[in-house]
Amino acid sequence: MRRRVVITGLGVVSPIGNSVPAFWNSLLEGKDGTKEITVFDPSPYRIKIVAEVSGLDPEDHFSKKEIRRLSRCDQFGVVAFREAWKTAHLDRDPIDKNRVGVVLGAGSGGILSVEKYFRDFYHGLKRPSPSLLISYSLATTTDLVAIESGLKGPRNTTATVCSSSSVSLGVAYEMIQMGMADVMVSGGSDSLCEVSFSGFSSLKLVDPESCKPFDKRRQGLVIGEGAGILVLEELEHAIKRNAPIHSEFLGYGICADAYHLTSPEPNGEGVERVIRIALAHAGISPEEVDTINAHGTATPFNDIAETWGIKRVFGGRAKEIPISGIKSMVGHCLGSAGGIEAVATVLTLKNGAIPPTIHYEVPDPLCDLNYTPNHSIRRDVKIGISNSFAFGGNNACLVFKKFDE
Amino acid sequence: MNHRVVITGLGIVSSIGVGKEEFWKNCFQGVSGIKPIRGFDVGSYRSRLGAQLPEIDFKTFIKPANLRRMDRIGKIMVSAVRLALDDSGLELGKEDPNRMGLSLGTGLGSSDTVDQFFRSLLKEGPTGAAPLLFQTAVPNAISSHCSIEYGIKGVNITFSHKETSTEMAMAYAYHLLREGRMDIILAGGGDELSEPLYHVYSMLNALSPGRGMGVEGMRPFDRDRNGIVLGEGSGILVLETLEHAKKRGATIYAELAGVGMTGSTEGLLRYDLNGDSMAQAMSLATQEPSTVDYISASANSTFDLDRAETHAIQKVFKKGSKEISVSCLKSMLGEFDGSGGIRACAVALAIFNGMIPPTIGTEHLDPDCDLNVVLHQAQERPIRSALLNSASNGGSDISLCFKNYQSVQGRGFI
Repeated sequence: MRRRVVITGLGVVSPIGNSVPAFWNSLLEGKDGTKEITVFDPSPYRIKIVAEVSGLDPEDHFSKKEIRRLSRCDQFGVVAFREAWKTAHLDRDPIDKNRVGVVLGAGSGGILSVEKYFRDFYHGLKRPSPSLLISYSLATTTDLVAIESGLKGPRNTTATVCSSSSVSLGVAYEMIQMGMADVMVSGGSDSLCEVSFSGFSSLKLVDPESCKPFDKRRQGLVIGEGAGILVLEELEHAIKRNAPIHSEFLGYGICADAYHLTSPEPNGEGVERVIRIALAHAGISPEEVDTINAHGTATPFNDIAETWGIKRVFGGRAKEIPISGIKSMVGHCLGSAGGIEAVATVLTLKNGAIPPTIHYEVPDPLCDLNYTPNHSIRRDVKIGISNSFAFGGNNACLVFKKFDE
Repeated sequence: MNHRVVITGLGIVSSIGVGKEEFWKNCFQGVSGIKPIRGFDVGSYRSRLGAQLPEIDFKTFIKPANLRRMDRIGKIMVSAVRLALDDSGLELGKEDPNRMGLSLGTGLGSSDTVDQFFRSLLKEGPTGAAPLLFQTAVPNAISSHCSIEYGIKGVNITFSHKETSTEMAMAYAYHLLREGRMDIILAGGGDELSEPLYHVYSMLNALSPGRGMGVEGMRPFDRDRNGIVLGEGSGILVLETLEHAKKRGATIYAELAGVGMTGSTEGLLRYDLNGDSMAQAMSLATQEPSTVDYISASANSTFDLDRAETHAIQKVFKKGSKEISVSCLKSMLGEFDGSGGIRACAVALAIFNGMIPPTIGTEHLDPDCDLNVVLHQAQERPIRSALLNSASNGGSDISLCFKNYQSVQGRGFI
C-alpha cells in the first residue's frame, strides 16, 4: 500500500521573482526575466543575455562570513528552502527531524565559485582562496540546507542537470515510500556560470534575443538560474499537524532515450514513454490530464520531439490540453528548472490558472498544440504533469493532482 | 508483494585489477593500488601518492566508433558496465530494454573534461569553448554513454553526493526492483583521479599527510592515520529481481536485502554517523544484528570518520561488535566518492566465496577504534549477512545490507 504524498511547502528564487507570490504573479503577467549578463563579463560573447536572478541582496539573508563561503547556488537554495520551510509551518510545528530528509537536484552547482578560483589560479594572478573550492562538490547546497535546519533524514543529490530537480522529486517521493522519512525537502538550485553559458552557446543552442518555445522563430534557450524547493510530506503526517496542502504528488517517471548525447529522440518516442511511465505510476489515465508544464527549451529539436511525444500519448485530445512553456519567462534554469517548474505546476492546480508561453507569435506547423500563447488563462484543472528532459535523453515526468481529501 | 533483489553480475575497473578475477585475487591477497602519482606533476603538493588505474585498452570493451565521443571517466564506466553485463550472462537482445535501467553515482564525474573545457575557454575566449568537451562534461553524460552503448531504455539516473553517490544509486535501484518496476538495473558508479581533483583535495587539506604531519598513506583505524590517498575506478553490479534471475538461470552472488539512510548536521566538511543507517538496513532486510558476520567499513583513514564509524558499530551491535569481522578496502583502492560500486562488488564476492579481504596499511590499531578489524591477511569465514557502510563529509550516511543467497536456500552453511 503506497503512502500518499502531498506538497506542503514551496520556495522560489527566480529571474521573475524571489518568493512564491512574486514568482506566481510574474508568471500570470507573462513577465520576461531575460536581461544582460552581470554575474560574469559578457563582453567576449556574441550573445549577452541570460535570465538572471536580480533583487536578491545576500546581506538580507546571510552574515558576511556566510556570504564569503556560500556560492551563489548555495544562497539561492537556502533562501528558497527557508521560504518553503516557513510556509509549510515546519519552523514552528514540533517534528522529528530524524524523519526529515533532503534530496536536491544539481546542475552546475557552485561552479561559479570554482571558476573564480581557477581563473585566478591559471592566470597566476594571486593565491586564490581555497574556501571557493568547497563548492566543488554538487552535494554542497544539499548539505547546507540540511545543516541549516538540522535535518537528519536521508540525504542525497541527483545530477542529471536539466532534469535533476524533477528527478530529485521522484527520489524524495521514494524515500517516503521506503519509510525512511515522513517529510522530504526536494527540488533544486543552480546558478549561472561561464562554463554552462559558453558550453550551451558552443553547441549553438542559445537564442540571441529571447526564449520562444514552440514558436517558429525559436533558436534555442536562454540560460537561467534560481531555485525551486518543495516540501513533500506524507499525507497523514501533514493532516495531523494541520499543514497547508498545496497539491498531491501522485507519481513520476524516469527513462532514457538511449539515442544521442545531446539530441532528443526525434519522433518523441522517449517523451511518450516517460509520460506513460509517470501516468501509470500515478494511476492516472491520459484522459484525466488537464494541463502540461512543458520542458519547452525552445531548441528546434526539443520542441518538436516534445510536441510529438505529447500527441503520441494524448492523441486527438492533445490539442485541447493547455500547455505552459515557462522557460520563455524564467529561462532554462538547468539544475533548478524541474524544481521551479514543479512549483509552477503545483500553483497552477491550486490557483486554477495556467501560466502562458510568452514570445509566441509565429506558429510552427510542426508544433501545433495549445501552448497558452502570451496570456495566462483561468481554468479549473485537477491533474497537471511537468516534463523535464536532459542531455543524453534523460527524461523525467512528474504528476500532480489538485488536493482533495 | 515485494520482490527480492539479487546480484547476478559484477563489473570492476580498479587500481588492483580489471575484471572480477584479477580484482578478487589481489583484493584478498591485500595488494595495494596506491603508488606515486603518474601522469601529472605533484611537485607543488605535500602529497605524492594515488591509486590510479593501470593502462587499459578500452577497445577491448567499447566499440571503437563510440570511443571517440567518450572522455576517460566515460570509458571507465562503460567498460565496467560491459564487464558486469558479460559476467551476468545477460543477452541484451533477449531482454526488454524498457525493463532494464541504469542507476549510477559519481562524485566529480568528468572533472578533467570540465577543467580542459574551462582552460581552453580562459585561453581563447568563447571560440575556445569546445562543444565536444561540453557534452561529455555534464555528470549524467556517463549514464547516457552507457544507455546509448547498450540500448538501455528504462530508468536512467545519476547521483552525486560525495562518498555516498554510488551507495545511493544502489539503494534507489534496490527500491525500484523491489517494487517490480524494473527487472534489471545496472547500479554502482565510480570516479576518476584527475589533476584538478587532486589540486582541489590538496588545497582543502583533505589528503594524507594532513597538514604535513606524519607519513603519507592510508591506514584505516590506525592510531597514526592522517587522511586519505585518492583513488579511482568503477564498480557496477547487475541487480535483478530474484524471479528474473531464476528464470534465466543466473549465478547469484548475494542478495541485496536492505538499505538504510540518515544524515548528520555537524558541518560541511565533517564526518559523523550514529549507526541508524545500519539499523535501518538490517531491519529492512529482516536480519538480526547477530547474523551480521562482516562489515565493509567506510573508514577512510581520517581521524573523524574512523572513530565515528567505530562508535556507531559499537552502539548498534553492543557486545556483539567484536564478533563481526570489519574490513576496509580503501587502503588498497584509495578513497574516492564513487568507491562504493567496487566495494559492493567486493562484499558480494566475499559472501559468495566465504572470504573476507584484509585491511592493509594499518599497523597500530587505535584504541578508540576497538573493533575486530581483519588486518593484513584475508580471513576465511562463512558470511550470513554483511553491511556496506558509507559516509560523506557534510553528513549523508548510507548502509546496504547484503545476505548470503545460498544459506537462505539451506544449501550452504548456517
